[in-house]
Amino acid sequence: MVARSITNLGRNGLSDWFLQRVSALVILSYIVSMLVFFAIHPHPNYQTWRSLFANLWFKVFTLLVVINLLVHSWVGLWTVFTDYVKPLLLRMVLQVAMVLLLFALLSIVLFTLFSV
Amino acid sequence: MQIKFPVTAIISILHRISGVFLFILLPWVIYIWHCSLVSAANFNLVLTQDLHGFRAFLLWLWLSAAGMHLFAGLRHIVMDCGFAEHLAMARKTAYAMIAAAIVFSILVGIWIW
Repeated sequence: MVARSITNLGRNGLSDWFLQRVSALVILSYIVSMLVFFAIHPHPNYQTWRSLFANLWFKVFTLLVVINLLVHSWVGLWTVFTDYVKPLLLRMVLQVAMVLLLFALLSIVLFTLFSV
Repeated sequence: MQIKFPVTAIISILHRISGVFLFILLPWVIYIWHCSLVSAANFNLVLTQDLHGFRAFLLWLWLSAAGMHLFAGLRHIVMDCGFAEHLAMARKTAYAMIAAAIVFSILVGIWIW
């Protein structure tokens, strides 16, 4: 029986490869927009900062990017753990913990955006 | 270790190390982002506590890692599209990415302080 991976995100290696690239480009678009913001407001005050994230479309954009960050990190760290952590049980525990942490971070961002 | 590493190998391991580092500090970065939005008082707290001293250095390191990871990643995507795959161009793009990462890092440093 061939060893199969059950902790990766995509259906196969090619799917992971694709998710990695697409999520990278989405995150890049967010980084560019943040750079534009900081070019206009290098040292924002609270009101300016808050109004950026109070905007509905920027909230949508932010949440979308955090989800993409989750996908991107999952694939990347899956690769790193698979490369370096050979004991099966330890690797499973670490990969699950990594995914849970990523979902927890997604929740924090979601709750923060709700409250702005 | 007495092995001379090609620049392409160095950029590759830096890409991996920066990725792991970005993940390790991600909870802290998201936490201070959260704090900065909760209230004006917390926003000022973030400015005074996290943009000075050791934490500012850590934030600069994290942003520099993001820059390095981004440029090395872009290089990957460019090579996926079939450009610059030959060794000569691969080495040139590797050096270019390192230069871009250093410039970005300096700009972020200026911004923080």
